[in-house]
Amino acid sequence: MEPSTERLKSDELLDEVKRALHEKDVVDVEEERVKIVVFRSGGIRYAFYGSDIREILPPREIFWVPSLPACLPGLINVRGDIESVIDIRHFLGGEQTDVTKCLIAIAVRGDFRSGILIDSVEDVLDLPLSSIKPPLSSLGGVARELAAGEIELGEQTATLLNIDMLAAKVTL
Amino acid sequence: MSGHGGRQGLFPLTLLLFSVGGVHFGVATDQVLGTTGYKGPGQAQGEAPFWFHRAVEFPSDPAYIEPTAVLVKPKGQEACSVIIDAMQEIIEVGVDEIQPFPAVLEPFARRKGLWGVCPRFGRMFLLVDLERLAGAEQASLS
Repeated sequence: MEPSTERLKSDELLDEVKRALHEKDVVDVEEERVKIVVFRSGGIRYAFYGSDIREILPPREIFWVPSLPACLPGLINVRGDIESVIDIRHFLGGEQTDVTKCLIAIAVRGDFRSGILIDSVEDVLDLPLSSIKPPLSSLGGVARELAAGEIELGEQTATLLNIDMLAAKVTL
Repeated sequence: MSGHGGRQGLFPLTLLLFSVGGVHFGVATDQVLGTTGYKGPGQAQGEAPFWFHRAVEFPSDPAYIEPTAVLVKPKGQEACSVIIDAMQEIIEVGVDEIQPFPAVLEPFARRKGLWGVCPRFGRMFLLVDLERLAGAEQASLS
Protein backbone atom coordinates (compact mmCIF):
# COMPACT_ATOMS: atom_id res chain seq x y z
CA MET A 1 0.00 0.00 0.00
CA GLU A 2 1.40 3.36 -1.01
CA PRO A 3 1.66 5.85 1.84
CA SER A 4 -0.84 8.65 1.39
CA THR A 5 -0.16 12.27 2.32
CA GLU A 6 -3.85 12.88 2.80
CA ARG A 7 -4.95 12.95 6.44
CA LEU A 8 -7.35 10.19 7.03
CA LYS A 9 -9.95 9.90 9.70
CA SER A 10 -7.74 7.47 11.56
CA ASP A 11 -5.06 10.19 11.77
CA GLU A 12 -7.53 12.52 13.36
CA LEU A 13 -8.72 9.83 15.72
CA LEU A 14 -5.16 9.07 16.76
CA ASP A 15 -4.48 12.78 17.29
CA GLU A 16 -7.53 12.99 19.49
CA VAL A 17 -6.45 9.97 21.51
CA LYS A 18 -2.95 11.39 22.02
CA ARG A 19 -4.33 14.78 22.99
CA ALA A 20 -6.61 13.19 25.57
CA LEU A 21 -3.73 11.13 26.91
CA HIS A 22 -1.55 14.23 27.24
CA GLU A 23 -4.31 16.11 29.06
CA LYS A 24 -4.70 13.19 31.46
CA ASP A 25 -0.95 13.28 32.13
CA VAL A 26 -1.15 16.99 32.83
CA VAL A 27 -4.04 16.42 35.23
CA ASP A 28 -2.13 13.65 36.99
CA VAL A 29 0.93 15.88 37.45
CA GLU A 30 -1.15 18.76 38.73
CA GLU A 31 -3.17 16.66 41.15
CA GLU A 32 -0.59 14.94 43.35
CA ARG A 33 -2.07 12.10 45.32
CA VAL A 34 -1.14 10.51 48.63
CA LYS A 35 -1.91 7.16 50.22
CA ILE A 36 -3.57 7.45 53.61
CA VAL A 37 -4.16 4.75 56.23
CA VAL A 38 -7.26 5.57 58.25
CA PHE A 39 -7.44 3.90 61.66
CA ARG A 40 -9.07 4.16 65.06
CA SER A 41 -7.25 4.75 68.32
CA GLY A 42 -9.09 5.02 71.60
CA GLY A 43 -12.32 4.91 69.59
CA ILE A 44 -11.37 8.04 67.61
CA ARG A 45 -10.55 8.18 63.89
CA TYR A 46 -7.03 9.20 62.82
CA ALA A 47 -4.81 8.69 59.79
CA PHE A 48 -1.18 8.21 58.88
CA TYR A 49 0.49 8.79 55.54
CA GLY A 50 0.60 5.37 53.89
CA SER A 51 4.27 5.91 53.05
CA ASP A 52 5.01 5.96 56.81
CA ILE A 53 3.37 2.60 57.51
CA ARG A 54 5.31 -0.56 56.66
CA GLU A 55 2.76 -3.14 57.79
CA ILE A 56 -0.12 -3.81 60.18
CA LEU A 57 0.41 -6.66 62.64
CA PRO A 58 -2.27 -8.65 64.42
CA PRO A 59 -2.43 -8.48 68.24
CA ARG A 60 0.50 -10.14 69.96
CA GLU A 61 2.29 -10.33 73.28
CA ILE A 62 4.00 -7.11 74.33
CA PHE A 63 6.98 -7.68 76.59
CA TRP A 64 7.17 -5.08 79.32
CA VAL A 65 10.53 -3.44 79.98
CA PRO A 66 11.31 -1.66 83.26
CA SER A 67 12.11 2.04 83.37
CA LEU A 68 10.14 3.00 80.26
CA PRO A 69 7.69 5.90 80.25
CA ALA A 70 3.96 5.13 80.13
CA CYS A 71 3.74 5.82 76.38
CA LEU A 72 6.10 2.89 75.70
CA PRO A 73 4.47 -0.38 76.76
CA GLY A 74 7.44 -2.50 75.69
CA LEU A 75 8.79 -4.78 72.98
CA ILE A 76 7.35 -7.11 70.38
CA ASN A 77 8.95 -9.89 68.40
CA VAL A 78 8.30 -9.53 64.66
CA ARG A 79 9.57 -12.61 62.88
CA GLY A 80 12.68 -12.60 65.07
CA ASP A 81 13.25 -8.85 64.97
CA ILE A 82 12.67 -6.85 68.14
CA GLU A 83 10.55 -3.71 67.73
CA SER A 84 9.46 -1.04 70.18
CA VAL A 85 5.78 -0.24 70.73
CA ILE A 86 4.25 3.19 71.29
CA ASP A 87 0.83 3.67 72.86
CA ILE A 88 -0.38 6.88 71.18
CA ARG A 89 -3.47 6.93 73.40
CA HIS A 90 -1.10 8.31 76.00
CA PHE A 91 -0.92 11.46 73.86
CA LEU A 92 -4.29 11.46 72.11
CA GLY A 93 -6.55 10.20 74.88
CA GLY A 94 -9.67 8.18 74.13
CA GLU A 95 -10.92 4.84 75.41
CA GLN A 96 -8.29 2.53 76.92
CA THR A 97 -8.77 -0.92 75.42
CA ASP A 98 -6.66 -3.93 76.36
CA VAL A 99 -3.25 -3.54 74.67
CA THR A 100 -3.15 -7.27 73.96
CA LYS A 101 -6.15 -6.79 71.64
CA CYS A 102 -4.68 -3.86 69.72
CA LEU A 103 -3.29 -4.09 66.21
CA ILE A 104 0.24 -2.78 65.77
CA ALA A 105 1.15 -0.51 62.87
CA ILE A 106 4.86 -0.62 62.06
CA ALA A 107 5.84 2.96 61.26
CA VAL A 108 9.10 3.76 59.49
CA ARG A 109 10.20 7.27 58.64
CA GLY A 110 13.86 8.21 58.28
CA ASP A 111 15.73 6.85 61.29
CA PHE A 112 12.53 6.38 63.25
CA ARG A 113 11.03 2.90 63.40
CA SER A 114 8.47 1.61 65.89
CA GLY A 115 5.24 -0.24 66.33
CA ILE A 116 2.22 1.91 67.18
CA LEU A 117 -0.82 0.50 68.94
CA ILE A 118 -4.10 1.06 67.08
CA ASP A 119 -7.62 -0.27 67.62
CA SER A 120 -8.43 -1.09 63.99
CA VAL A 121 -7.73 -0.12 60.39
CA GLU A 122 -10.73 1.61 58.81
CA ASP A 123 -9.52 2.16 55.27
CA VAL A 124 -6.56 2.71 52.98
CA LEU A 125 -7.25 5.61 50.61
CA ASP A 126 -5.59 7.28 47.64
CA LEU A 127 -6.47 10.96 48.00
CA PRO A 128 -5.54 14.14 46.16
CA LEU A 129 -3.08 16.12 48.25
CA SER A 130 -5.46 19.05 48.12
CA SER A 131 -8.00 17.11 50.17
CA ILE A 132 -5.77 17.40 53.24
CA LYS A 133 -6.87 20.49 55.13
CA PRO A 134 -5.12 22.27 57.99
CA PRO A 135 -5.69 20.76 61.44
CA LEU A 136 -8.92 21.73 63.16
CA SER A 137 -8.55 24.70 65.42
CA SER A 138 -10.70 22.85 67.95
CA LEU A 139 -7.94 20.25 68.44
CA GLY A 140 -6.20 20.78 71.72
CA GLY A 141 -3.22 19.60 73.72
CA VAL A 142 -0.80 17.06 72.35
CA ALA A 143 -3.22 16.00 69.59
CA ARG A 144 -2.80 19.45 68.11
CA GLU A 145 1.00 19.08 68.19
CA LEU A 146 0.83 15.71 66.43
CA ALA A 147 -1.68 16.77 63.77
CA ALA A 148 -0.41 17.22 60.21
CA GLY A 149 -3.88 17.97 58.84
CA GLU A 150 -7.50 17.00 58.64
CA ILE A 151 -9.11 14.71 56.08
CA GLU A 152 -12.78 14.70 55.16
CA LEU A 153 -14.21 11.21 54.83
CA GLY A 154 -17.76 11.71 53.67
CA GLU A 155 -19.57 13.35 56.55
CA GLN A 156 -16.79 12.49 58.99
CA THR A 157 -13.21 13.58 59.43
CA ALA A 158 -9.92 12.03 60.50
CA THR A 159 -6.92 13.79 61.96
CA LEU A 160 -3.79 13.06 59.94
CA LEU A 161 -0.88 12.44 62.33
CA ASN A 162 2.70 13.53 61.81
CA ILE A 163 5.08 10.64 62.51
CA ASP A 164 8.05 13.02 62.92
CA MET A 165 6.25 14.81 65.74
CA LEU A 166 5.34 11.51 67.36
CA ALA A 167 8.97 10.43 67.15
CA ALA A 168 10.04 13.66 68.83
CA LYS A 169 7.52 13.06 71.63
CA VAL A 170 8.91 9.65 72.55
CA THR A 171 12.58 10.47 72.14
CA LEU A 172 14.48 10.94 75.36
CA MET B 1 35.73 -15.69 77.89
CA SER B 2 38.18 -16.03 75.07
CA GLY B 3 41.28 -13.90 75.07
CA HIS B 4 41.06 -12.79 71.47
CA GLY B 5 40.41 -9.18 72.41
CA GLY B 6 38.30 -8.41 69.31
CA ARG B 7 34.57 -7.80 69.51
CA GLN B 8 33.75 -11.29 68.29
CA GLY B 9 36.03 -12.67 70.99
CA LEU B 10 33.38 -11.75 73.57
CA PHE B 11 31.06 -14.40 72.17
CA PRO B 12 29.66 -16.90 72.83
CA LEU B 13 28.39 -15.22 75.97
CA THR B 14 27.35 -17.24 78.99
CA LEU B 15 24.19 -15.89 80.60
CA LEU B 16 22.58 -16.58 83.95
CA LEU B 17 18.82 -16.35 83.41
CA PHE B 18 16.45 -15.18 86.13
CA SER B 19 13.10 -13.53 86.44
CA VAL B 20 11.59 -10.90 88.68
CA GLY B 21 7.86 -10.29 88.80
CA GLY B 22 7.34 -12.41 85.68
CA VAL B 23 9.86 -10.40 83.63
CA HIS B 24 12.81 -12.36 82.31
CA PHE B 25 16.39 -11.16 82.53
CA GLY B 26 19.88 -12.40 81.75
CA VAL B 27 23.24 -11.39 83.15
CA ALA B 28 26.69 -12.37 81.92
CA THR B 29 28.05 -14.96 84.32
CA ASP B 30 31.45 -13.27 84.46
CA GLN B 31 29.76 -10.47 86.41
CA VAL B 32 28.52 -12.86 89.07
CA LEU B 33 31.04 -13.48 91.82
CA GLY B 34 28.71 -15.75 93.75
CA THR B 35 25.09 -16.46 94.65
CA THR B 36 23.36 -17.37 97.87
CA GLY B 37 19.78 -17.76 98.96
CA TYR B 38 18.65 -14.50 100.49
CA LYS B 39 16.91 -14.72 103.86
CA GLY B 40 17.51 -11.25 105.21
CA PRO B 41 19.92 -8.30 105.28
CA GLY B 42 22.39 -10.08 107.58
CA GLN B 43 22.97 -12.89 105.09
CA ALA B 44 24.21 -10.94 102.12
CA GLN B 45 27.92 -10.48 101.47
CA GLY B 46 29.56 -7.15 100.74
CA GLU B 47 27.83 -3.83 101.10
CA ALA B 48 24.15 -3.50 101.99
CA PRO B 49 22.12 -5.44 99.41
CA PHE B 50 19.63 -3.78 97.13
CA TRP B 51 16.59 -5.16 95.41
CA PHE B 52 16.87 -5.57 91.68
CA HIS B 53 13.29 -4.47 90.96
CA ARG B 54 13.81 -1.17 92.76
CA ALA B 55 17.05 -0.45 90.94
CA VAL B 56 15.45 -0.95 87.51
CA GLU B 57 12.27 0.88 88.59
CA PHE B 58 9.47 -1.64 88.67
CA PRO B 59 6.26 0.32 89.29
CA SER B 60 5.44 -1.81 92.36
CA ASP B 61 7.09 -4.42 94.55
CA PRO B 62 6.66 -7.87 92.97
CA ALA B 63 6.36 -11.01 95.12
CA TYR B 64 9.70 -12.82 95.22
CA ILE B 65 9.45 -16.60 94.96
CA GLU B 66 13.03 -17.60 95.61
CA PRO B 67 15.08 -14.49 96.39
CA THR B 68 18.76 -14.91 95.68
CA ALA B 69 21.58 -12.53 96.53
CA VAL B 70 24.01 -12.16 93.65
CA LEU B 71 27.42 -10.76 94.56
CA VAL B 72 28.82 -8.29 92.05
CA LYS B 73 31.75 -5.90 92.14
CA PRO B 74 31.40 -2.70 90.16
CA LYS B 75 34.67 -1.31 88.84
CA GLY B 76 36.43 0.77 91.49
CA GLN B 77 33.74 0.14 94.08
CA GLU B 78 33.00 -2.30 96.87
CA ALA B 79 31.35 -5.62 96.12
CA CYS B 80 27.65 -5.66 96.88
CA SER B 81 24.68 -7.97 96.67
CA VAL B 82 21.81 -7.56 94.27
CA ILE B 83 18.69 -9.48 95.19
CA ILE B 84 17.13 -11.20 92.20
CA ASP B 85 14.51 -13.92 91.97
CA ALA B 86 13.84 -17.27 90.35
CA MET B 87 17.23 -18.16 88.92
CA GLN B 88 16.57 -20.46 86.01
CA GLU B 89 19.52 -21.76 84.08
CA ILE B 90 22.77 -20.87 82.44
CA ILE B 91 22.85 -20.71 78.66
CA GLU B 92 25.41 -19.86 76.04
CA VAL B 93 24.41 -17.44 73.28
CA GLY B 94 26.10 -16.32 70.09
CA VAL B 95 26.41 -12.75 68.90
CA ASP B 96 23.62 -13.34 66.39
CA GLU B 97 21.18 -14.32 69.14
CA ILE B 98 21.29 -10.94 70.86
CA GLN B 99 19.73 -7.74 69.57
CA PRO B 100 20.13 -4.20 70.84
CA PHE B 101 17.07 -2.44 72.16
CA PRO B 102 15.12 -0.62 69.44
CA ALA B 103 16.35 2.97 69.12
CA VAL B 104 13.16 4.39 70.64
CA LEU B 105 13.62 2.41 73.86
CA GLU B 106 17.39 2.19 74.11
CA PRO B 107 18.09 5.48 75.93
CA PHE B 108 15.56 4.60 78.64
CA ALA B 109 16.76 1.02 78.98
CA ARG B 110 20.47 1.91 79.06
CA ARG B 111 19.93 4.26 82.00
CA LYS B 112 19.12 1.19 84.08
CA GLY B 113 21.90 -1.05 82.80
CA LEU B 114 19.70 -2.90 80.29
CA TRP B 115 21.78 -3.31 77.15
CA GLY B 116 20.22 -5.97 74.92
CA VAL B 117 17.49 -8.47 74.24
CA CYS B 118 17.72 -12.21 73.74
CA PRO B 119 14.56 -13.94 72.50
CA ARG B 120 14.67 -17.53 73.73
CA PHE B 121 12.17 -20.24 74.64
CA GLY B 122 9.30 -17.99 73.45
CA ARG B 123 10.33 -15.39 76.02
CA MET B 124 12.18 -12.12 75.82
CA PHE B 125 15.24 -12.02 78.08
CA LEU B 126 16.35 -8.49 78.90
CA LEU B 127 20.12 -8.43 79.31
CA VAL B 128 21.30 -6.42 82.26
CA ASP B 129 24.74 -5.17 83.21
CA LEU B 130 24.60 -5.80 86.95
CA GLU B 131 27.98 -4.15 87.55
CA ARG B 132 26.74 -0.93 85.98
CA LEU B 133 23.44 -1.14 87.83
CA ALA B 134 25.11 -1.86 91.15
CA GLY B 135 27.68 0.88 90.55
CA ALA B 136 24.97 3.44 89.87
CA GLU B 137 23.02 2.27 92.89
CA GLN B 138 26.05 2.55 95.16
CA ALA B 139 26.88 5.98 93.76
CA SER B 140 23.34 7.19 94.43
CA LEU B 141 23.58 6.06 98.07
CA SER B 142 26.96 7.65 98.76
